[in-house]
Amino acid sequence: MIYGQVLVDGLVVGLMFALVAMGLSLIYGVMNIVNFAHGEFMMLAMYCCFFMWSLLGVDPLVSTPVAAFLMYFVGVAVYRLLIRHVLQAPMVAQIFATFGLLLFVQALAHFLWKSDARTIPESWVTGTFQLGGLFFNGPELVAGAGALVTAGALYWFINRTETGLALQAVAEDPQAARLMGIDSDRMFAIAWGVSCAAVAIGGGLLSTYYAITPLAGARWALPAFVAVAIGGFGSITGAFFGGLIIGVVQTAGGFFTSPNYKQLFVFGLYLLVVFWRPYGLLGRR
Amino acid sequence: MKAWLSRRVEGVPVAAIVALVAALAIYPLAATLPFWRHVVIMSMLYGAMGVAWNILGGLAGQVSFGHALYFGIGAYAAAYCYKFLGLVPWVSLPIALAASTAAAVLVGLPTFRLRGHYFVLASVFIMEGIYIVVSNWDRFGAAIGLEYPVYKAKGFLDGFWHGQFADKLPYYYLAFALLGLALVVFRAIQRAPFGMFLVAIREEQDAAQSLGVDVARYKLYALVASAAITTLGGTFYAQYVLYVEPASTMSLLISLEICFVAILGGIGTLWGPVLGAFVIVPLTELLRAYLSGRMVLDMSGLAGGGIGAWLEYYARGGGGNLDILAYGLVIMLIARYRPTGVLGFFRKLD
Repeated sequence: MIYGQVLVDGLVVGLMFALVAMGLSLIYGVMNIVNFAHGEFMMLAMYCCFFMWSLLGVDPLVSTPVAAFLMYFVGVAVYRLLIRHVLQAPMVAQIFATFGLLLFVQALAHFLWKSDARTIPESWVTGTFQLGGLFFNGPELVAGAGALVTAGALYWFINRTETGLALQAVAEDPQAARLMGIDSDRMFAIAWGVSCAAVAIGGGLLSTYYAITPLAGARWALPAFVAVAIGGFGSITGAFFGGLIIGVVQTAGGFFTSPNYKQLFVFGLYLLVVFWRPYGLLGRR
Repeated sequence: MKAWLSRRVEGVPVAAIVALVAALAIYPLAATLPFWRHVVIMSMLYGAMGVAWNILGGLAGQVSFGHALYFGIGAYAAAYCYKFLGLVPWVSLPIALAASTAAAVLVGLPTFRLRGHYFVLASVFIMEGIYIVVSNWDRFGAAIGLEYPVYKAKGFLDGFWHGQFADKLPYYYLAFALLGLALVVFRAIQRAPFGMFLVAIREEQDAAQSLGVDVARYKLYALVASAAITTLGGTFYAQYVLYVEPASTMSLLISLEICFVAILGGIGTLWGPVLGAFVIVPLTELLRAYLSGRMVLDMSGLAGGGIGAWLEYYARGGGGNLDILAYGLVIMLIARYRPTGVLGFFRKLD
């Protein structure tokens, strides 16, 4: 039973990693940029929900879509002001652009709100319950379910809507896409907006039970890179399953050793995967 | 003599180099305030490590975001050996270098097969993994780190032997020597066939391989050399601040700072990292000193409420980290407006 509990806990956490990883993978797939600042949008969404709760008394489950809506425009703005100008630059400059953004946003959060952890002690969903011998933490389960729904919506958006297909066309061949009348610049901006909105939903759902600090986003984004790599950079579906895998690995690793070491197993997994398949488990090239 | 002085080493006339070296050598005699010496010590330290990073990142084109690992090895080896084994840094240095070489080989052998972002992320994850181990290992002081026993030196030579000085001046000349060493090593590698192989690997790895360049071996040599100098920097740093902790020696931020000086000044160039370090390090040190002098953590002004109190709180530095805020901003601006670095000799990688 204990193994079943670890597996279920891991999958619930993994759904959140999956959502974070899918946003990362979307940006990488469309424009070959590794967004180191991805977790920072998540962190901003957490603060957004916190302040809507503390100042206006709005429950995070209500304010999460609002945070996602705001983060969409933050993502578009980041693209327009920064990313667009480094698309043709060497890889190092691109890494520094998003890493500089990470430092900037994190430090801004420190400056504005200090490093003290904030929590939302009471929200609509609280407590734990038991189901078939397994224990579930209510807020975590709701967050996992919300992440699953968002991941599904993201999948639907990419594969079933005209905009999503246009995004894929740009990712495949920007030149040909342009000849077909697709404005790649606009598509890139949309990719950033959607990616940030998706991770913001993750942040909003997390804010119901997770300590909100300036570093909260980075703790989720770094392992999410492993999920992206496992799934093969740029594959949305791969990132989803990669997220589930690292959720289970991290939870099991933390359970059988010490929670302090849980990320070690995720990083180790990355090395194992890339040494075995240098382009990721599901990757090609 | 005159012909020699007007020769150029990577675009800089020898006369100018001689003048700069002389200026750096006499600078601390003019700048007697510890803070002004400290700024240049840190600039030279980061300059040396940027030059070291540049052997791998600039010449061979392998972008490592994990160089803080080697910095940390140097710092921890010195602190651990002194505190627990009673070994002075001159004795522990070979141990540190052996550890750093072993680490470089262990890291390099598997990761050099990876390309592009996969390599970058591997270097990050290995360093983060070691960071987790060290910050949970009580023998190494865990997250708190190791504090040096302060040694009361009997005379200069005794202090020199223990690598501890009450004054910043000896540290200054040690950092000066370290920077000189790094530049000489870089230049020697750059001019040797070895350096040309590295550039060939950077420009077109597959072509270099097909022409018989042993790609894996030369990448590994480059990493070992780069790691060794970075380790020297780590040992120097530990002796300088007499305190090592994971966050200030092995974190991603330190890795970033090391390679940013090279990127800022011009990746792959001899003088770029030095220029980069002398621009960004004084900037952040000055900002940090300025902010820490003004920052007030007392939030009593807030209790009264009102916009004025808020403004006052933020004007006094808010929750802190303004130096990192500025650092991130500079990095973004450089990436945005000068993606090829300030000197602009940057070439496309991967």
